[in-house]
Amino acid sequence: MDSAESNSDPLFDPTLQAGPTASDADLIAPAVPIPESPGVSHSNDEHSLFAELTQTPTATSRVKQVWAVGGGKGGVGKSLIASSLSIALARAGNKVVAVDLDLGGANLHTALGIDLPKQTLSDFFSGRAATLQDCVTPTGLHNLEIVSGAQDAVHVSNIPFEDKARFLRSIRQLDADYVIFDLGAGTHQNTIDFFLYADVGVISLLPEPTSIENAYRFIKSVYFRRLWLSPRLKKVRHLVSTAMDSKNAQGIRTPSDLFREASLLDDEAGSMFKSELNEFRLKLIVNQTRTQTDVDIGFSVKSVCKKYFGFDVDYIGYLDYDSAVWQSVRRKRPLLLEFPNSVLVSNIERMTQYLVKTPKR
Amino acid sequence: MDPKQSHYDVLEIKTDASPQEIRDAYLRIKNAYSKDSVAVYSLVSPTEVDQILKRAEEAYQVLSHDAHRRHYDQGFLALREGSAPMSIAGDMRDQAAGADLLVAPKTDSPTPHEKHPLGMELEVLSSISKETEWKGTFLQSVRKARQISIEELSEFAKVSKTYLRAIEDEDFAKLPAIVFVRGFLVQVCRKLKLPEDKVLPAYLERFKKAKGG
Repeated sequence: MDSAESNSDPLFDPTLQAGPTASDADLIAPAVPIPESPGVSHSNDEHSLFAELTQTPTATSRVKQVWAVGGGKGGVGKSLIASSLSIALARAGNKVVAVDLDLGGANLHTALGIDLPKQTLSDFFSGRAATLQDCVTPTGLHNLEIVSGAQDAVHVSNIPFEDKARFLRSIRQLDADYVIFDLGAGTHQNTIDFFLYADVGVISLLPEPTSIENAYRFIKSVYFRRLWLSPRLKKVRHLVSTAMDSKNAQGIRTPSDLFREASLLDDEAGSMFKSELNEFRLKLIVNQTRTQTDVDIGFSVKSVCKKYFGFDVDYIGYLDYDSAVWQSVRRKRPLLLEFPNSVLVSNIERMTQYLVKTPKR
Repeated sequence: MDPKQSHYDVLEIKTDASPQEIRDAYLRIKNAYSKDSVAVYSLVSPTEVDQILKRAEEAYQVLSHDAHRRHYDQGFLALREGSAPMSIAGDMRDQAAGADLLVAPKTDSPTPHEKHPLGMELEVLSSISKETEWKGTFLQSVRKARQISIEELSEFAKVSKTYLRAIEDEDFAKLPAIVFVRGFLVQVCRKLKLPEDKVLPAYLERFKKAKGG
């Protein structure tokens, strides 16, 4: 992996092709041309990166799991949840690195109660820091370190593919048991990819229409992106691309339309599709619940995902709205340290234990 | 929604779900796809929502009734076993029982569980829309069709079983003043999902006549 980091053109890193799992077929252009659609470019690059990162086990890595917290909308508690999960993991004796991927709007450091570290992801992406490990900064809390988000010109939308690949490869090289991603708002392809390449993807939403709407948009992006990247669905990839454009001329409007078209085109696609969906294991947290109706929204979203997308969403819990506790954010003090005995914190600890026990997807 | 989904798939439960789990699942779906649910509108069209609710209702009618469920299970399992070797996709479907939103057109097997003779009871439920008299006997047949015991109704309505029986038998002498009977009927209508605005005037008309005469 070291060679990949220093190599100016990681795509031609010989280790990529030497791997027994990265088949040659993945590296050549698909027989069916892929129509242009937003966010679909460098097809070969993206697909070989996907194969590399998902199929090649990194035996030397200390990292047990990478967790990502996303959710589409801003202000749904991603940073709060990411920082709380990180602290809970660290307090349980794990070495944790929290990574702020809200590039352009980084504030995970504040949620953890520290000032902006000197080294940030900007330094990694610009090459000023040689490795990602160089950007790791202590938080003052035992076992917990942070890689802060970029502050200046680097935005999630302008990370070139090579930098994204270099970043994703570096993650598993960090000296940590757990790496926690705090994602930014929106459904930019890079954000979706950070979410997809994590072992555990947590979606946070508030019991409000706007938040739920954006969460669905986020889930939809993850869904299409994952199917598009899947080597198993290579033969029907062009259909996935078509479906991503919701006004496509072929009338593929919903996931079941896509499934039907794919099955008609290719005998095996139907079963491949299903195995792909079985690997989806999104985790859902409903934040700032005030009533039972709010809590039930988690079950409703779970059901809608099952019926609409055809995959299971794991509703791992909810966090009650508690104005006293939310004050801690204003005081820039981590929730877990200010209110160690609150129901909210015990809920977060329970979720953390649950996620630790969940096998990789 | 795929028409070939089983009742269990519709309610998102395992085939060995307990009556309580079935009930909970049904209520969860009813809640998730209710008119004012914020979790639905941006993804699922109103037509699809109606369809889902209709399917959930059908599924619950069958699965919440022991005999109907047994009957359904027999037909359903026989079909699953019978269709297994049809194709790869067919195999997949049988393995992943309970996850059948997506069913490949290739695997078109005879539609399982098409018609299950629920006989009289379904007829009663379908005749609700045409009912005008709302006699006690009709209320009783709806209650039975919905598989609600008099005890269950009593607990829900907070009305004694004696009064409820009197309402069903139209034994008006046993019933208290009209204002109370009206209240009882409102609760009964809620539980039996009957239109209050139609039941109350028709029923109370007879009640008034009997009391007055």
